Amino acid sequence: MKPNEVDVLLFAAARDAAGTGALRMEVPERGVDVTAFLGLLFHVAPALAPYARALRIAVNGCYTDGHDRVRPGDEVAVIPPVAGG
Amino acid sequence: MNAKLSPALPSPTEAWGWMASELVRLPAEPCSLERAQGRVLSETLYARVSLPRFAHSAVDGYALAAGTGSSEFVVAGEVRAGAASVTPLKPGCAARIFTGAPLPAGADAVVMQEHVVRAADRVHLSHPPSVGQHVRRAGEDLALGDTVIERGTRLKPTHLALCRELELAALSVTRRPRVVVLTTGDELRAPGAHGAPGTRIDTNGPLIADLALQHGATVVARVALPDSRGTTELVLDQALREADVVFTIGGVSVGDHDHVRPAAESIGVRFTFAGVELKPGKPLSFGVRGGARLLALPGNPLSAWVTFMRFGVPLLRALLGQQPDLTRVGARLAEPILRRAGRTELVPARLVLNEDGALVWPIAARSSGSVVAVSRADALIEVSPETNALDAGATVSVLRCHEAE
Repeated sequence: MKPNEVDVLLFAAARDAAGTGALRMEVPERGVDVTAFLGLLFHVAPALAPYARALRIAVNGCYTDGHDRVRPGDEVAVIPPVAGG
Repeated sequence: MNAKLSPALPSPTEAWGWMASELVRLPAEPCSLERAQGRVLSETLYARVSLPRFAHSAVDGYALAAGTGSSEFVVAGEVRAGAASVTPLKPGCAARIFTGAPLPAGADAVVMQEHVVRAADRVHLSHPPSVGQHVRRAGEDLALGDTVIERGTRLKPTHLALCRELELAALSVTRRPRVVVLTTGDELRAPGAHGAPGTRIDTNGPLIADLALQHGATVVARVALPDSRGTTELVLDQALREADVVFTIGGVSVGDHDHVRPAAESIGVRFTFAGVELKPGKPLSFGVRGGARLLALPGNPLSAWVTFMRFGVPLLRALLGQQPDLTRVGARLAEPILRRAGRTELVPARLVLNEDGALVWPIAARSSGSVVAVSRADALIEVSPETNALDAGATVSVLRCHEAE
């Protein structure tokens, strides 16, 4: 892993849409907030963009809101909502 | 931590991330091949025929069945390029064949004419042929269902040649972003206009319009605004109705005559960020109103160019459905860069690729208003905020700005 990278894990429908379960992205040393992180992610994996409002983001195992930050070395999980019946 | 570092301003990456989350690809429209050069493909093309369409000879020679082990064949018939029908080969026979001609049924190899001895109606082979030699198989280049061109590709003449080979008459491309460019400042005048003392030629407006065109946009209007709040509001409001993207240049700092941001807010623009931790280009701001985006660039030519390259080009590319980021390469620094840690810095530079790798020259631009530096630069060296001075020979990250791809 390069010093400024984060590991991104994609689950369920997010994994299917992106065609991969894991990818790596570079972020600045002081990190970016979750809103900006999603913007960057959607251009690395454009197939995720339609799920923009539904995806939940966990950083290092904790769910976040848009103001939490993603910093180098973090593990980010991208989790789509569980579909209802 | 550097005391000058303002925690309120986003880093360039964070600012771009916020922008990116507001950008979706524009709708597609059909386009004939004649008008498709430079347009961006909106859906991936898959092969509906295979290429080559039929097995054919790569050389002038004799088509025959190589698997028999025989070294002598009776010459029966001739196949030329463009032949409409081809007689199947009989056992023990070879057909005279020319480059591009369809391979007759029963043949699986072509022997070059230089490698046979012909006597009357017979050919004798000097070397045993191998199956498939000098034959271009059907589907060898492109099989049915293969990806031909990925969506998001900016179409070049070579792509269009391939489309013609596949007999495609029209393509689905992303609509061009409609752009309005607004320059601000009472001091600006058009080239050739009588120049009062203290005025300067508006180079920024045409520069940004030309760059937008080069990157696939349509410039629907370019207007020079006076330093007046009321006029700025009126024109900006109209621009946001007509355009996908409005680029303003200047008037975005906090001076008494910097009207862009308050005017935009008063007509309903929601700013995603106002200011970036970037040198040059700190005042850069981005806002959205409905389906229109406003990127407010700083006023001096160098800052305007740098911020357009770092944010404006990726913005247009994202709307076009292209991978938005400029190409990034590692390069060795040819001359030192003097600076103190603080903001991310984008240094205009000239990039040279030779057999020793990539070498990059920072362009000295002490005055950030220098259009001279802009005219010489084809790249930006990105220096991270925590980096102090860089020595010659250091490896740096370089964004390529030269071409629209």
